[in-house]
Amino acid sequence: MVARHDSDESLLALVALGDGGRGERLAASLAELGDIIALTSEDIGPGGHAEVAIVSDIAVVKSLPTGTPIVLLSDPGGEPITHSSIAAALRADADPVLIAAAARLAAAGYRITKGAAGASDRPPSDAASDSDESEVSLPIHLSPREAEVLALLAEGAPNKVIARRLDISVHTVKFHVAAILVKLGAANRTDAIATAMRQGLVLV
Amino acid sequence: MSSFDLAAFSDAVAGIAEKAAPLTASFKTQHGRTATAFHWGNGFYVTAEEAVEPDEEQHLTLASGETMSAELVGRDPSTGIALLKPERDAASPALEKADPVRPGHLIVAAGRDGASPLAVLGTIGEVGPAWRSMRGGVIDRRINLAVMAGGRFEGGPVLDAKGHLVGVLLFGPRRRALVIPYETIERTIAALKSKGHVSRGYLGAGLQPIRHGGVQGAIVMSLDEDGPAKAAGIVLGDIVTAWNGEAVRGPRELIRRLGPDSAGASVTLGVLRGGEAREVAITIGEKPLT
Repeated sequence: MVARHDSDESLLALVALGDGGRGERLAASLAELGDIIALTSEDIGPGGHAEVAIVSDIAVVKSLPTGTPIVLLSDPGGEPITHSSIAAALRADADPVLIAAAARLAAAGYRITKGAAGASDRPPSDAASDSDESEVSLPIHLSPREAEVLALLAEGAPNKVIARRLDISVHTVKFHVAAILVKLGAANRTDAIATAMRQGLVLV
Repeated sequence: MSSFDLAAFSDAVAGIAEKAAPLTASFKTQHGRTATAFHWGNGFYVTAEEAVEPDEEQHLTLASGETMSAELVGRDPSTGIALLKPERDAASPALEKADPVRPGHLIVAAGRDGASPLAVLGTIGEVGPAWRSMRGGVIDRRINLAVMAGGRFEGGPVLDAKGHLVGVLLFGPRRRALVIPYETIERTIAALKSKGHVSRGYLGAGLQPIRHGGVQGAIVMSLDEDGPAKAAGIVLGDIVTAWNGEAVRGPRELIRRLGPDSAGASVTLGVLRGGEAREVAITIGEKPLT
């Protein structure tokens, strides 16, 4: 799955949100972020192929080939939906960067469980959460490659340097960094390193 | 009480914003939004560290309307400050340091989004003593704002009623606007200019929070073979529960103590090993803070 991202091939994502306008806006945001081509149901047609589906309603899934990974965007407070193809569930108002990262991970066969992706609105660095040492309950599993990338991130290495050190493309580094951010529920690299230090993933 | 002239008040506020506008610059953040930086002096611009994508080439749009590439001189996650230097010196003046502020004092937060200068009026909401950020940085005063400042103001200057600089606007938890005060900026950029980074204290241990019975602390899960913890005789499974006699309830509190000022310090850690409390003397190491 990493090999696919080493070539600069774009990810084909079906975007089908109940609200057409919202769908268009998300499709535009994803296109702007690069390497995700957002398609509508009409673009794909019956029996067509998408590597990942970003949907707001699980009913859309019936029209897709079985097993297409799904990123579900749901409104907060709605009924929890469970379906075997749901690889990630995010809030409908989630940052397009996060949605894009989740889509890439889903297409690569990852499943993002609640604890990891749901923690993104955790407060960033400040004193307010002083006594909160309660992050114990979230085991975070990084792939060996992600652990290597995280270690270099923690040394302050930019993507170019990480790519050179691990002998992989910058594109692949970006993919791993996005995966690390999602898994750690981090808003940015700084936040990811801070979280990783508290979880024993980076030496303190 | 003399009569209050609303128009004059309004013009005075706009005047403060107008005076700051030539010193502000804007740049694109990692999520495609914009944030503000402002001229500190000698061609150096201060902004919020969290807004700067460290990997990308930086571009600042100055008040002149010119967009130019800028060097990221350094960033300090412990105080939330980043220092940028655009390739050409805009030769704008620097802001004067404000007198100490009190809760209720009016402030103007200034910003820039491309060609548009931004301003919002608010008050100082809270003033408290020095505090330590989550990454161990000492912030000289706690200053929280009561102001409706959106994301574009992040990294912008906060001015008092005389138009003098209180500090830089950052967002804390729940996007609460806070100020990193002038003296903290001054100290941080001195370190960034000389070294390009600030240091953090280093133990060389992988830590996880642990709570078992009445015990709360940071359990050592891994060790750097050449690190200070290993050298001090810390072994895997040790639970760190105290720092110089003060309770440490987990990695979060330990990391907070490993700020830039801890590097090289001699510290006594309270450690539980196999249920037995002991003290371990350690010399804290040093790593660049990223």
